[in-house]
Amino acid sequence: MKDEDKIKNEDELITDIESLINEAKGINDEIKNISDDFKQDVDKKESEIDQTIKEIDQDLEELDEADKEAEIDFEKLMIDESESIAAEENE
Amino acid sequence: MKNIKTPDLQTEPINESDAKVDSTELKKVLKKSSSNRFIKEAKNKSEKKIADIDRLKKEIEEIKDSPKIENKKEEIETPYLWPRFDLVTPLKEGSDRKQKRNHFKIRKEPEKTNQQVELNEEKEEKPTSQKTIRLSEKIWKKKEKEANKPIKNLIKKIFNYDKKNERGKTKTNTEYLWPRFDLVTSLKEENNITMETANNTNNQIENNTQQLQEPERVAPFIENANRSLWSRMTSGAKEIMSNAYEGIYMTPGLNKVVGKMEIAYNQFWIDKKEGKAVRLKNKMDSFGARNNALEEVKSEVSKAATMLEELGLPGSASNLREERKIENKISKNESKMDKLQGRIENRENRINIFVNKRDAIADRLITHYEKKLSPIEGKLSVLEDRKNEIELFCISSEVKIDEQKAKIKRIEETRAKIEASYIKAGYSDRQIKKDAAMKELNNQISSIYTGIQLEQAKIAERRNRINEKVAKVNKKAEPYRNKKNEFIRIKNNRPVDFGLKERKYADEWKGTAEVHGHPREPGNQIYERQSNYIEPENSLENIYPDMERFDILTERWNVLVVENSEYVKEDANGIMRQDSEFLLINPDEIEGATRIRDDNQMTKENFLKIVEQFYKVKKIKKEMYQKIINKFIETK
Repeated sequence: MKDEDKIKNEDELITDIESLINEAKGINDEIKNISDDFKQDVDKKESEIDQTIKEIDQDLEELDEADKEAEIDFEKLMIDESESIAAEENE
Repeated sequence: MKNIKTPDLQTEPINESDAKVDSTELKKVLKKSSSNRFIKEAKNKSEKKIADIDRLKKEIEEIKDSPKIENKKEEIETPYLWPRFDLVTPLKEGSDRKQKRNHFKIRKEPEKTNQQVELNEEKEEKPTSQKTIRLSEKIWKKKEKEANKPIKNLIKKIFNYDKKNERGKTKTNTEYLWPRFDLVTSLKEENNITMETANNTNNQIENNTQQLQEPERVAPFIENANRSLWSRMTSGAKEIMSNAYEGIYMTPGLNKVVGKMEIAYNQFWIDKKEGKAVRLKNKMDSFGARNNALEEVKSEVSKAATMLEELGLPGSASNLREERKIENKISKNESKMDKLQGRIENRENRINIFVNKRDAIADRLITHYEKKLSPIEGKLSVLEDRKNEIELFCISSEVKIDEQKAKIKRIEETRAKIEASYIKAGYSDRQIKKDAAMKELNNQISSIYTGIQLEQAKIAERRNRINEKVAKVNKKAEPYRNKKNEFIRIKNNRPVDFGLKERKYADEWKGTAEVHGHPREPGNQIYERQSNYIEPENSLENIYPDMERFDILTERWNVLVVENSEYVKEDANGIMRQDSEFLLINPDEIEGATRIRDDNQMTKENFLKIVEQFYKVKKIKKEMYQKIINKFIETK
């Protein structure tokens, strides 16, 4: 009787272990799915972010250009002003 | 004074005339006595000194005659003992040690002939060594002078350069202050070279004089587009502009255009432009004060004239004439004041023209910044949205991973029970570990743990990367947002108001002050973002025991939302709407955004994380649902 019980118990245990293995495999698959989903979603959003950043960079460069133009204009104004003050001082 | 006898006034009374005579005599006596006394003192002193000198002379003679001094004298008078190597004859070959020693012994100089003595007497006055030093000094000085000559010429040329420029002859030509960095550096180099060779210096100076003839090169700070303008400028104007620019180039890391615009109305230009105007205004005011005083005098005179007329006394006509004279003076002053006012107005106009031109440039930049910054602001807010969406993905993935962690915990617990049953059945630990099924199970569990670790690391890395990207672009845009304000501030720097009637500057200024009202709020949003950053959990042991299904948690949340509903928000049509309309969570909506299913299990804390991030994406303020969160945490 004892041997029979023992065999039964072992069988039960093996089936338990097998079900646990299956469950663990399921978790592994689940983690893979989570990883794939995350990658897919974030990649998509990140590419959008990169595109927006690129546009912002371009806009900022244009602002720099405007600065430079203004600087040239301003220098001209300063030159004119210095000239007129110098002329006045000569008088 | 002690020797003089004064008359006894009590015993011998003196009349006035006697007293006068006595005083003059007394003075004479006093003079005489004092002069005699001084002569006597001087005589005594000189006699004393003479006696001292005689004594000293005697002492010196005694010392001279003493035997000690005689010996010393001999020592001093011994001929020249300096090892005169020129007098040393070459040593004969094969001479022994004694001969060698004698040969190099310091010897007395050979006796000289009369002629040589005479010559030596002359030489003794100026020893050869001293003479050579003096000569070499002279030669050195001469050479130094020759070497410095070209540098002096160059300096002269630098300072005379502006005098040669016919257009730019100013009063301050000699005070040319512009730091000619190109020349200064070359001068330094030249100085170094001159110490070594004078020839090289000459060549460099020639090069520098060539450089002087090209004024375009003396404008390192000017933009390329304005170089031609610079070359055509007069020296006086160059000096003014370069003095004005000094401030910019002394400030490190300064934005050039902002700096240039700032100096356009800083102290330098105030001194230059308004200084004279202020002086004229002061002059004008002094004329005004004078006129006021004259007016007062005039009224006094007219009052006196009327009084005289009323009393019928003569002199009213002369008063009237005085009044006319004062009037003339006043009118003359007024005409002077008119002229001065005209000059001040001209100056003011010039200042205004300059300021208006500056404002026009600043305005152009401000509008340009507004035009460019508004889409950038929009794009930055889009970036913020994307970042929030990614954050939602990160949170939902972390919640899903937490669920898997709970599952694996359960598997581990079952495995422990199985192992205990095996041990009860008489299996050893080693046997259990070697069992194929158990091995497979253990492998699966360890692969789950590595998978979880990898996934958590990935999430953390992606989150950080995106946060960095967004922060970087925000940082880049920040100076431009500030710059717009800087230009506005520059524009607000207004000229001095002289209080002349014709001026209406204040109105002009008020008209342009609107530009201030441009709110910039993204700064706070950055802060908010930073505060919401969630540190990744690396520990696998942090497993939440009480998890619930997502659909159950959502249902409970929605019940609380309805229970605590308030009329809080106004829609586009101006109708007040219940907050529940915004706060109710549709599980399908969340599933679409996060891929979290109804059957996913999670803790209350994780559920709230998802809810908060979801609301953030939907741009719902936290104040609207903070109360519900508190109640949700209290529920079991």
